[in-house]
Amino acid sequence: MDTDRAGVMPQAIDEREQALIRRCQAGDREAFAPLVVRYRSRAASFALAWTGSTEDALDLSQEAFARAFRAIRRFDPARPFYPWLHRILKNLCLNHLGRAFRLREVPLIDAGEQADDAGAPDRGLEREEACRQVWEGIRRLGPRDREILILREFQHLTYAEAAVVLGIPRGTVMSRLHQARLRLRRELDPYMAGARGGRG
Amino acid sequence: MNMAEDWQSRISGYLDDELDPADREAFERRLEVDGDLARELEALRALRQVTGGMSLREFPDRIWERYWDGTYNRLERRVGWLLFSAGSAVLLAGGLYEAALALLRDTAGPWWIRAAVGALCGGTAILFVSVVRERLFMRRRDPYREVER
Repeated sequence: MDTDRAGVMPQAIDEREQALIRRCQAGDREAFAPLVVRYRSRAASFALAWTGSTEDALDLSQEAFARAFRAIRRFDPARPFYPWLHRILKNLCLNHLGRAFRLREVPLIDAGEQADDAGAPDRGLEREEACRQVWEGIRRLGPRDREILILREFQHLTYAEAAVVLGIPRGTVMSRLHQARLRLRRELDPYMAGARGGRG
Repeated sequence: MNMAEDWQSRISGYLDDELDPADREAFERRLEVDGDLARELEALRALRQVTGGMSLREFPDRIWERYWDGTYNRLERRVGWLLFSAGSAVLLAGGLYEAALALLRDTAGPWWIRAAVGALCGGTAILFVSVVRERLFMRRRDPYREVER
């Protein structure tokens, strides 16, 4: 069975995935399990970045898989599965946030956070605060900006991969990402100015 | 997109190393003569310094142990809920119909109760038809009907 990391390349349509989808279309629920295993981590992480709640992220990603299965007869197996799932999940996340926002945790970590925790606790706290500020900034952005920033900055998709997931040309990914970063930069201006002042 | 915006939109591509070599070279030449572009690049580079090492928290392995079970249960329960809802709706509607009919036929009862039941039934029918019609009307004109919900 594929590992979660196999879902990193959403545009790669392999024959095995197509065969699984065809079996699902014939009503075989067990054939859906490998698809869930392949994409669950990616889907749940996206939902976590959107909702800030592990519980909601698992709930929404499972619901997205369930809805995908129910609608799988309408899906064209010649197309990659993940972008389709991503659209279902994104709409669930949007609806979810429309109902209630439960801020429970900051879903970001800094790669250097753990190393710093051991050596210099203050630096670890600084990084933790940076994660919180960045996530707060992202939350204040519109859904389109938030989506592309999550895919690129935190799920580390290439432009080509993001283009497939979003169903837009690669050039549009670049310009949309640029606009999103500018808006995030503006949101973080006070924090970044403060951090510079603190260091100076 | 004008020329300035075109150059600006390449800033992210440059930072992410997503420009092809020719575009990258052209962009670097442009940076030498375009101060605004260089300043915007520095601003976004500063942002990258903050966000660069960040990623999403990973879920602990134990979470995945029951993930598929949870998804599978949703697939099964959907059928259960549909049958339950359909059965409940039929029983409720049938029960209400019979009760209303019995009340209306009971000539010994007070006239105002029969009138009220008649009004209630008529009102419910009108509201039901109205909601169904609105839903159908909205469905035909909903610009987001292709979006999976």
